[in-house]
Amino acid sequence: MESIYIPLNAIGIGRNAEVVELHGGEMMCKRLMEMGVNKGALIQIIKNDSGLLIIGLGESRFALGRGMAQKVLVVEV
Amino acid sequence: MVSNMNSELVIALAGNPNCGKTSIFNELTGAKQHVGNWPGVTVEKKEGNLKFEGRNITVVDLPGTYSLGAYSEDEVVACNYILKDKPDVVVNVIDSTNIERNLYLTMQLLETGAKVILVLNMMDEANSKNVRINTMELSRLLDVPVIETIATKSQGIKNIIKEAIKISGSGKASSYKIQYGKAIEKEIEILKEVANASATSLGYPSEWTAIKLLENDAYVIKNLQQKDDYNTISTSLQKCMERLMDVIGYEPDAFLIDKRYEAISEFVNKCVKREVVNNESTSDKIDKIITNRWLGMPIFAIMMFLMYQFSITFGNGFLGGIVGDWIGSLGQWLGTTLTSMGAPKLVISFLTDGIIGGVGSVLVFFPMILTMYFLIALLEDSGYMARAAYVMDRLMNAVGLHGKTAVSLIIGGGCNVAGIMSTRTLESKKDRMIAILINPFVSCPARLAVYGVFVAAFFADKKAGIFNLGGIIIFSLYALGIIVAILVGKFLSDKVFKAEESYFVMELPPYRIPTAKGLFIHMWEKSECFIKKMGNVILIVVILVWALSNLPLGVEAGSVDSILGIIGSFIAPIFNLAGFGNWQSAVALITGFAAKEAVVGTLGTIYGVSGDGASLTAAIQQAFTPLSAISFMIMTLLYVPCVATIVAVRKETNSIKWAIIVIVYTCIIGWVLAVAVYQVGRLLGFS
Repeated sequence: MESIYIPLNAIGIGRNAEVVELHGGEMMCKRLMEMGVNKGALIQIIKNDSGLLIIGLGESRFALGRGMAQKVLVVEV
Repeated sequence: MVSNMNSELVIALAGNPNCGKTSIFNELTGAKQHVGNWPGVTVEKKEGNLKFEGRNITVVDLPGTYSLGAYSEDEVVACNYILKDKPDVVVNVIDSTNIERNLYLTMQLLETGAKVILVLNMMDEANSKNVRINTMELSRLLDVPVIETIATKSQGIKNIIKEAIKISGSGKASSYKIQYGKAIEKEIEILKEVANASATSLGYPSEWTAIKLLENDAYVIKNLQQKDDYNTISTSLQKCMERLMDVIGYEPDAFLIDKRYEAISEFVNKCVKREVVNNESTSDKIDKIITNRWLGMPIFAIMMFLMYQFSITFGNGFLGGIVGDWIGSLGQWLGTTLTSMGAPKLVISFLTDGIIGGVGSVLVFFPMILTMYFLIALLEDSGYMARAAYVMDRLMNAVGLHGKTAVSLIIGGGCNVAGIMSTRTLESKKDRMIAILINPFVSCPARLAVYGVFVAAFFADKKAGIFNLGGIIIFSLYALGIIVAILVGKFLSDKVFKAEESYFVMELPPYRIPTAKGLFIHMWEKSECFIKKMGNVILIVVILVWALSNLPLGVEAGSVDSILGIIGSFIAPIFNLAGFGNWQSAVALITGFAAKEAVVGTLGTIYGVSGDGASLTAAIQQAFTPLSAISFMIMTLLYVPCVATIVAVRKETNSIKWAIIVIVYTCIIGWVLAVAVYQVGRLLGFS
């Protein structure tokens, strides 16, 4: 079954998602990837109400701008 | 670097932010640290020394970075140091709980060809989180020594040194190579040939340069552009890129990053066992409250308020009082001793009024500054500071600013220069420029010294409810500084800088109970510059002020007829409208350009030499009213912070123009607000 790609900010709190695509500027993508948000990475949504998201990547936690999260396409797992 | 020449071994510490690198550095070098700047940039450079089995070892703490790209000045500094200064050993500190992400930097360090030691720090936390790492296997796969440490409990530190000594002598750099795949490796070979001459002349290894070219690394490309054969390199790079696009289908730089992560996940699969407990960590639970959309802001405000209350009541009131008494008795003792010895009057005046009166009046505030730095260190080391940026982002966004600007403003509350330097974590140029330009409005401890004197003179023992009125006034001055900063920021954001994509990404380190050692080193590091300033800038200003207030010879010391009085009287009328048009204030504000503490030092000296033994407090009570004291404090808060800050603005914006603009607009804003407060206050019936 083909999963649908959705932006990271559309994933609810407590859910996990796998990164499939990164869009946006070169610098932004590079930075995200170097921090570990790259294809195949498993992301846990810790907080997602308004404003910044908090995402979990393994044991680390990152605050991520909503606009930036919108450019990270994921599938929910 | 002089220190490197007579030392036998140089170790560089590299690692991600929040990996415990600083704790390791502190454990290795103890208090023998030296903080300076990397040449040409304002990135802080920390160096320390230690002796081990008769060998002198220098440890250089590189800036914490996620990678060795051209992403920020920090990364460029770290990268250049490893490639060009060639430390004997690079110790790569890794947060064991986040080994996957931390290994990314390791991959890049290995590519530089340096002798690397892997230090798996925070092993205790990893254990408690059920992360088991097979150290032997990791060491074998990466072909580097791997050491387990718990820096906060001083465990494993000695092994780092032993291993460093071993590898620096007989050891070899790792033979491990990332498998980028045939296509990429072929292109690396081609670029290696083409760029070899230029790379060598820049001090870069040719293979590393080739990889950086494929990564489209802005800094390396910028450097190569200055070489004669850049055209050849660029043409062949373009061809490589085109070929690679055909083969792999997307940008090679992204592909390289993917490959590194592939390699990492292979190591992790082989060496790391994780029992997946998708449990909410304690940090997450705390974050639920601290970053809550309704509670976050009030908690932040309360934290800040308490920080200033505590600094004032404990640091200034209690500790400062003790120091003040000591200095007072020292001055008296010196005065009587010298008089009984028959020393000339001028000498006595120079030592007691000039040096002790001037420098002493600044020294009194050292306990308060220490207290404040201690609390800032506590906020930083515990992990709260990152949350502050998170919480403030919403508010800052509303006025077109970035959340991290809030953190640079708080750090600016410790020192504007440090605050301006901390803006480097802001990704977009626009956000960064604004954060730099508004930082000078934030009260730093040097201004606190000025408030301290005036508050002591007028508001110290008064209460407002259960709170100390002095504390409230100082808190309000801080708030005013921040409000002005935000308004100016909004103006700059709306009118001056063109919109640019701005984004936010920041690590939220887990909450930790800071170690006492770490806190004290952190605090001392920051306050050291205050003591140093006392020894040079303040001392010079104080001597100059004393001399000018006694010249021309024969004039009544510290009177209007002295050179100082003449200069002051010339400028003073500007401040008539603000209520402090006396020449002493004018002179103090001028010397305040050098450093804000000098305002106090100057007043201390002027009133000391002319005084009839009355204290600075008493002299100020005569020369000012409560209202003009407030307007004077506002002026002090807002006009040019100090030469050092202006230099930092100039460096970080890379423009003299902006440095001059900052000088001009801070003076204008300071004057306008001081006048406004004084005049409105008078209308309302205050005096």
